[in-house]
Amino acid sequence: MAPPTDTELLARCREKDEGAWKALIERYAALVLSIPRRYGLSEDRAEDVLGEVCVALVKSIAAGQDGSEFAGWLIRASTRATWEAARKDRVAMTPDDMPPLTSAAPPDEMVAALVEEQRVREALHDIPGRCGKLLTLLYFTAPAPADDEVARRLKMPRGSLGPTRTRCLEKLRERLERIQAPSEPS
Amino acid sequence: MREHPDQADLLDHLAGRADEAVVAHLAQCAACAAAAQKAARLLEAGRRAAAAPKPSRRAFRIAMQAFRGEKAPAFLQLVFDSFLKTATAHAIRSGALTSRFLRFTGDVDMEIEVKEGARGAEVRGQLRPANCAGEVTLLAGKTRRRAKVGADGTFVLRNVPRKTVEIRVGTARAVTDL
Repeated sequence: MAPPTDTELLARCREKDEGAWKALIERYAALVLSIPRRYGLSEDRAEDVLGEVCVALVKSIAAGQDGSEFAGWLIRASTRATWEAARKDRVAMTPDDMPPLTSAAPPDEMVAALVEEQRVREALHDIPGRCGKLLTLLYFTAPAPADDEVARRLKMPRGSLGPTRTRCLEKLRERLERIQAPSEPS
Repeated sequence: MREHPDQADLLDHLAGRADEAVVAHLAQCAACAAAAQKAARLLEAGRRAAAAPKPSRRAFRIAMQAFRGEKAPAFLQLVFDSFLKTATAHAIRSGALTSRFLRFTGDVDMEIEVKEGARGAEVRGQLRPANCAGEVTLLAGKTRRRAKVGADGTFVLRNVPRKTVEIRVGTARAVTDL
């Protein structure tokens, strides 16, 4: 069964459904937290940023947030809260793998990269069985472990890695197509 | 390589599982080179997603509190630690320093003095504003200590283990090593 769309979850949140809110947080918390962490804030401060974004989201839901451009909305809200927290803490926002922030608004290319990252995160999470773990170990872990190590960790025969990998990539491709634009309602 | 490499071949190549036939094919096949670029973007996005921090239980708790309209806990910031300002490593090791002062600021201001007590540390503190909380709670692993706050904002916590502690004042939190 396909996971509920953002639009469905937001509509249920509007009806005060805590389960829907929890599902929304499970889907997006890593994205929100990754922004303050990459800009040098501590884990505690990053979680404060998450709290502020959640408060803003609750208000936005009440005001009719419908899920269109939702990941982008979260990225902008998280960046704004990060900017404010970093200014308050006097943290120099000069990360290695992110563009320098010169205002509370993130550059468009940063938003696009984070939306794509979220899309892959969701797809890896949603594909069934061991596929998400297998693909993460084979391709998305740096440095990538050797195939023998991957087989050992997943308790799989070494010889089945290749065929399983092909099937898992096909599932990933299907899931990515389904969430082509993660912020848009399907 | 006669056939075009599939996505798995491209990802293997990009992930460092070098295959000379794929490398040679990419040099002469523009469509495959474009597919390799797309695979590289997938690889980069996936690596960034995998490297991102996993949300802690506290993060989920904060998110649920926001949904229920409860005030999220705010962390007080350590702005002064006498150990960092004045103590040498030798002084700390030799026990020449008998007390330590820390100052936190945020939703409330809190100063504490940490001294050696009969069983663990003794923490004497003062809050500003004085009437911001009726009591303070200290958590150190499974250990919990409570103290009433006086009219002048002072409190005393005794028998505190020398480890990382969290001091709670209303919804504000201060975390430090003792």
